[in-house]
Amino acid sequence: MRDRIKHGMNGVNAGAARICRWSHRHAVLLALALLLSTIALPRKVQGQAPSPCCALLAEGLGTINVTLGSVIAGGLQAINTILNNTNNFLQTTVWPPQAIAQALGMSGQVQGFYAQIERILQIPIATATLPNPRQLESTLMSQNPGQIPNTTGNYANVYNVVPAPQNASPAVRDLIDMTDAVAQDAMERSIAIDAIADQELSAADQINTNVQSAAPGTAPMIEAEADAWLIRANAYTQSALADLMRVRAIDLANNGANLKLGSGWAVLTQQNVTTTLQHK
Amino acid sequence: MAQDNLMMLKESDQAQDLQLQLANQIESLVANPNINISAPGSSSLITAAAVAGEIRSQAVTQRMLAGWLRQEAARVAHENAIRKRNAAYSSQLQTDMTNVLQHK
Repeated sequence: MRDRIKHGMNGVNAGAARICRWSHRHAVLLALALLLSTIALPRKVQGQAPSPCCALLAEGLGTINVTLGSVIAGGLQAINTILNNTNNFLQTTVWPPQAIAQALGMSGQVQGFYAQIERILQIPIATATLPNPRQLESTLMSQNPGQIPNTTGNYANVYNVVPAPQNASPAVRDLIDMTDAVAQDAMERSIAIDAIADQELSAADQINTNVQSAAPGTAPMIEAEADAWLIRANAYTQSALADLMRVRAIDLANNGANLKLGSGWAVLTQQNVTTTLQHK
Repeated sequence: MAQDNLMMLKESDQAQDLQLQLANQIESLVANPNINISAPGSSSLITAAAVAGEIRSQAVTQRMLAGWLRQEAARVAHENAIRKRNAAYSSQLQTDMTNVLQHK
């Protein structure tokens, strides 16, 4: 019995070994056969009779469809109408292309007007004839801040320098020196103000050029920059007025000083005359 | 300097005429209901151009102030020059009188 079982097991083992060897040799063929059987085997499918799940799904989808068509589409249509009306209003009333083109054209006209003004202001007005006054005039009209250091020498050549101590009293020398200083300062400031005005004209040109190529939406930004320049320009104008007030103040102070010096000299002369008469 | 400023006044008069023309033009663009070319959207462009015009107008004012400043400075310098000349003449007179009295 034991031998028979053992013989049987040996047979099974040998058979399994043969199958393994065969399948090893025909691996590709076996794989193809498995693939075909997988494709060809019949599957379980739903039949013609509707399931309750499908009916519920169809009803839900139908409800969604009706809601989309009646409620949401109506709302979207209303929104679309409002957007169209808004766009139409913006295009025809707020941002009409013709008006925008006219505004851009006007900016070009502003440029033209100021080009004329600029040409007028550039007409030479220097009229001095002698060398020293011509030199001073040329410096004062130069509109070039680099010429400011030349003012002192040119001024002294025309208006002379402070008298030597033996030629005038200290009070008169102080008066003359202070007046010279203020006059020279004012002349130098006038050169600087001319140069500042030139810079402002350049800035205005640049702003105008930007306006001509600006979109209506960016124009307020350019306007803000222009407003900042306008504030600066007002500050410089006020600075020029302050310089003018300084010169006028010194002029008034000089008149006061003349009266004071005159009264002092009158007293001195009276004393001298009295002394001279007493010696006689 | 006086002639220079008189000439500058002529230039300034002309510049002011042009600025008035420009202001009228801007006003006619935005305020005349018969000319339908301004719109709320284009007004920002017109305003920006007008502000650039204001800056230029300030520059012209500054040029005039610079001319006025030069004129005032020249006037003060001129009066000061007379003061210097008087001091020089006084000194010269004193010297001459001393010489005359010494020769006596």
